[in-house]
Amino acid sequence: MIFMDIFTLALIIVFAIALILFFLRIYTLYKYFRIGRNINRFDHAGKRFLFMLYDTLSQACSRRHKNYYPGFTHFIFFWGFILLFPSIMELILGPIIGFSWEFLGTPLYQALFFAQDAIVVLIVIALAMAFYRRYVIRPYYIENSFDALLILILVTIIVITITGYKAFQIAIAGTYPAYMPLSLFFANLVRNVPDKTFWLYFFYWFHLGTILFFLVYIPYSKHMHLIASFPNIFFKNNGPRGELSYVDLEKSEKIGVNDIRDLTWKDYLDGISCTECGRCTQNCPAYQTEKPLNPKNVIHTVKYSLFHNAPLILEGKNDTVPLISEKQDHLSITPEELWACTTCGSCIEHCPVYNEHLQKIVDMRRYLVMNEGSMPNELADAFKNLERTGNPWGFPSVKRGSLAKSKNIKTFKEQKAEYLLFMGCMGAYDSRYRSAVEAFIEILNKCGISFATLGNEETCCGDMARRSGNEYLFQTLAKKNIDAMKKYGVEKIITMCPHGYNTIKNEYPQLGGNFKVYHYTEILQMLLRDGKIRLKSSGERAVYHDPCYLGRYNGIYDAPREILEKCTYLLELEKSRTESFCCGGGSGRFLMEEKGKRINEERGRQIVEKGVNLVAVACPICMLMLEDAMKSLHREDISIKDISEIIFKNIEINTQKDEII
Amino acid sequence: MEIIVLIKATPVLEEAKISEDGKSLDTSELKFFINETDTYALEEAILKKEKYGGKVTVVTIADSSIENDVNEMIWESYAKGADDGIFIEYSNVYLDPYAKAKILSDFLKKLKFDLILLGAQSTDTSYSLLGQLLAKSLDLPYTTLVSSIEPSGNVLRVVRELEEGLQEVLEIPTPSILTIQSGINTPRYPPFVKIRNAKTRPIKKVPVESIVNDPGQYVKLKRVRLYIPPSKGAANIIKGEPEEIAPKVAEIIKSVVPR
Amino acid sequence: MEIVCVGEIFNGDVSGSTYEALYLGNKIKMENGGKLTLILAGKDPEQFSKKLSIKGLDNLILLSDPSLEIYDNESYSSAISNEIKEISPDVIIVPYTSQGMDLAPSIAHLLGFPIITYCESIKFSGKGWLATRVIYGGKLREEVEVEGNKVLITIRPGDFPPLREEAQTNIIKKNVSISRGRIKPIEIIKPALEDIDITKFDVLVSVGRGIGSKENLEIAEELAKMLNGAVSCSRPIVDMGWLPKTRQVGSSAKTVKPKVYIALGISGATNHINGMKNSNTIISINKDPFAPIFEISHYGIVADINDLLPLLLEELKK
Repeated sequence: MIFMDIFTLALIIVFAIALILFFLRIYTLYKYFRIGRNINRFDHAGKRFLFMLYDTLSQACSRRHKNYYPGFTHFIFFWGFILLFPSIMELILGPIIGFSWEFLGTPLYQALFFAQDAIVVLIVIALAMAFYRRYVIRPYYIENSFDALLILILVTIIVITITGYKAFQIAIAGTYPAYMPLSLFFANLVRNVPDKTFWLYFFYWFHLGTILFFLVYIPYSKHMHLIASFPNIFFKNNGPRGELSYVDLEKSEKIGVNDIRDLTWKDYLDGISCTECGRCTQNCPAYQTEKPLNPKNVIHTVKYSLFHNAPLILEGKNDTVPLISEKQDHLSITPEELWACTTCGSCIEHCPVYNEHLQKIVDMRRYLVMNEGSMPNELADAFKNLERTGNPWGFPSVKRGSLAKSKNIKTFKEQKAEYLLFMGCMGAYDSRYRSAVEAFIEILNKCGISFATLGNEETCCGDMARRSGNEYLFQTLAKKNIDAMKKYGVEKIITMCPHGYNTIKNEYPQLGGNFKVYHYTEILQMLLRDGKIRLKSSGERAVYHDPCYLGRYNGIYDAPREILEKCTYLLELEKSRTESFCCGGGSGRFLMEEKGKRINEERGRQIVEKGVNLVAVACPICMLMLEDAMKSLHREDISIKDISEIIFKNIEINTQKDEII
Repeated sequence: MEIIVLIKATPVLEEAKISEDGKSLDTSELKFFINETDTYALEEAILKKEKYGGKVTVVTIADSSIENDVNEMIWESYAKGADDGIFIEYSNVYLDPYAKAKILSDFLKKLKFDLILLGAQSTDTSYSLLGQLLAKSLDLPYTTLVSSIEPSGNVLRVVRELEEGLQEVLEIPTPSILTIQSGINTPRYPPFVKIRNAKTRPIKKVPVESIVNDPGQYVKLKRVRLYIPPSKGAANIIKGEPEEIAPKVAEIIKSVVPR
Repeated sequence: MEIVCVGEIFNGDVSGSTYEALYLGNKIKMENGGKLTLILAGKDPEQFSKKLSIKGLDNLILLSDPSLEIYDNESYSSAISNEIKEISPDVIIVPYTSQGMDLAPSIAHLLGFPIITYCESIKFSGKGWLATRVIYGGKLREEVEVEGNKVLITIRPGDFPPLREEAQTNIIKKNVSISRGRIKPIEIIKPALEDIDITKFDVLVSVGRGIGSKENLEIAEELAKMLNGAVSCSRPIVDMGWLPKTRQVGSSAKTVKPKVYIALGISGATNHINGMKNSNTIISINKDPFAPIFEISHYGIVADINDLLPLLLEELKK
């Protein structure tokens, strides 16, 4: 029939145009991706692929952090697309090459159509929920862009037209397929409508047009997420979260990032994978306390910068817009935004598509510090002190070992030992944290653990320098420590501070320092399990504040809790474990003035709400920040204690008597 | 403006060790950095260059045994914006401000400059003398403790920092020598990349003997002894938990504060 | 032995360090015999003739000229050294204030005297002068010797007690006529008047870099108010712009001698210590147990200001 021929021709032409437009865009994006630096993310491809399938098909992204409302709608839309996809194939390929799913056999074929009907109902529910959330609840971290509205409208059209198409198909055929209850219901309503064929074609073309428009529209909009998320999850960072990238300081002409070309293609992929869900924003302590930083904007700026600059670069033009600028527009990030970050890692933790906000922030800080010498004054002072004395305050380096010496702890120079106790700057010099260190030393002594320190040969671990962008200073400090550790044949290291723990464990290997690293809470857990220490319970109501660098960075959530549960009545904070809210002190922020609402006070309020008098911490910076918070909130009755202090107070050392038992 | 900045290598002295001769400091384990007030002088020179154009030359006179630290000081100055660096080296001789002023004046009188800047005081020997003595040798006007410099016509309008918050404004022609007080500006933090790139730039090394023969003969202030003063120590040191010591400290304050 | 002190008029009065120079001059005179002369230059120095009639001071020479109204090293050094030449002294003592630092090297140069700055003590060794100097921020002392029997020394404000006992002194008034040199003094700018005079308080609560945050500065203000005192500070606080220069304690700022000096987070640079070490009672709080300020404190408290200050305030309120 000639009509069918025109129809097929039209279909082929429309379909081809859509495909061409789609792939042209994909090709353009590919060209854009080539302007960046390379990074190898093709290792363990099989594992990566399986993880990608698991994470997407099971929709683990929305389950990980209990976002059930948007999680449900996302789940339905995701699976809706997958289930409607066969019918779309049939609608297009059927007329062209006579494709049909009937070859699956009747039961499967009918099941597929039933599932499609069911999912349409669910999509309608999800659509209602999505509209309600966006336009009635209006969460602050969601921007109601035109893109977002358009996709909801398109989905609405798609479900209406597919249902209309199927209803008229059934009505025209005069059948009563029970396996398509929804379509059948509407078919029964339209059985007496005149011009049914017209309406069939109307719904067909409307449906197909919408689908093809959608196909073309995706790669031009934020909904690139639909496609890019898959490779983004495939290429995600599989290294330790606490490991920042290594920089070859001698070879790189420019260090860090201030131009879109300094980033990698994976950073661009992050940008186009972002669907603006706002969970990073929602969980960012800086954003929550009204700082200029919004982690979502960091990702977005990368995307906008790519789209703006890549065409210019490809055309060989030089008027590109730098990534860092005082100008507050969507093409660049201000230094104030960059310095507001505490590097708590909550944005990474919560990103459903595993975007890497922090590396970008640190890369840009690296640019500012290493190329421009631009940073807040407090940081410049801290760097100078670190260069000269190995601690951020400028205390004499020759006094670093004083505390340990006063407790008669030997240095490795004097005596070899099983463990190196790495004091850290706070452990070596801070007058308040001193008692935590002393308590831990007492416990180790009583348990007969063989340990020693590096004495004055220890220097700052370098964490603060690295995270605030001073890669050179980090490498200098780290190498100094590694040299000393190697000189004395150190194998096992216990750190007091989670920042030192993270850096020595995850970053020193970049510089050839491979050691077995323990946080002191892991040692306490071991001593407890081995029966070397016994604890009496004070029954005191307490909460534990998870340090970012122990929890989110290194997954140590249970060791501190296991110990604390033995000697207190341990409650959980509303925000704990992966959800823990930063104390505000990370990446040298504890040395810097914080304007406006304070992060530590915000955390303090969360603690006050819990109604406990004891807060256990496992990080000297958390201790400093939270004690300050309690003072500002006039709640000095809530005491902030280090776990080692609490343990020491409640300890019953296992004597020989127990060994006999 | 052609500006010469005199920078001095001063050590971070945490623990003092006296050499066997009893006259000098054991510097074998010490690291030397640009003297603090000299960093302000350098910054001021660079700021002036950035604003009015010209050239900044850093000159330092130091013992050749600390050559590495001196090189780093000059590289750091390059990274901050200095154009040239001159290292006048000496060895096996003690030089006081008189001898250094003599050497520098003989050296600098051959150079063209509008201004010599240096820190008002060094953190090590604290003579606060070199700039003044050098000015006398070169017959240049000078002033000290400068907290602001602004060109005004063909002279400089300079502010000196006095005691009790007072300031003196004066006008001084160029060429002249100004010693700089801390706080005149905020010295920049030199970025690594610029320091690294500076390391390829030459440092002009000038042996002191090529300027004067037997520099030791110009020493007027002979150091005969160097010693660590006996520590007096505070009468009462109070340590402990803040909660415990707060009442004690309050008692002490109450007992000594007049009613 | 002829001893000459160079006095100084500062902010409309004879500076405190002038009396300290006289003390040292008198001490040398007592040990070696001889005469002590004070030279004071200014626009109108006669007004201080009574004040400077001091026991032990043999001659007071007042040099006046309208062009000496505002200090500059060229006019002052030429006027003063011309006068000193006639005395032909063995020792000249100049306080190392902002003026002395500027002036003394010029005088020494014009007279051909060697100059030793920042002296803590001085004695004649027979073949030359031997001075002790405070160096490396107080961590070290050096003994410096100059050959010959002539020397100009400068002393740090606050290192010696003042010599003030009134007596008859021979007063010589001279009008000098000065030809202006290359430097042109313009004016003296006084700090805004609304601020307080920290030298007038019995109690000073002084804050340093270790105070940490501006909030703690407010607590310090509260503490000072409670004790009927004022808040003073060390140099970094002024450099950061947290307090005006008028609140700075130190030999280059204000020298204070309150009954009680409470140092919060001040590590104790020599300059600062010289400005307050003569306080009756010094109480220092610092988290660095090695802070040099503990050396001169009567009570040293090793603690974090952040922790202790609020608790202390509560205790004192009781």
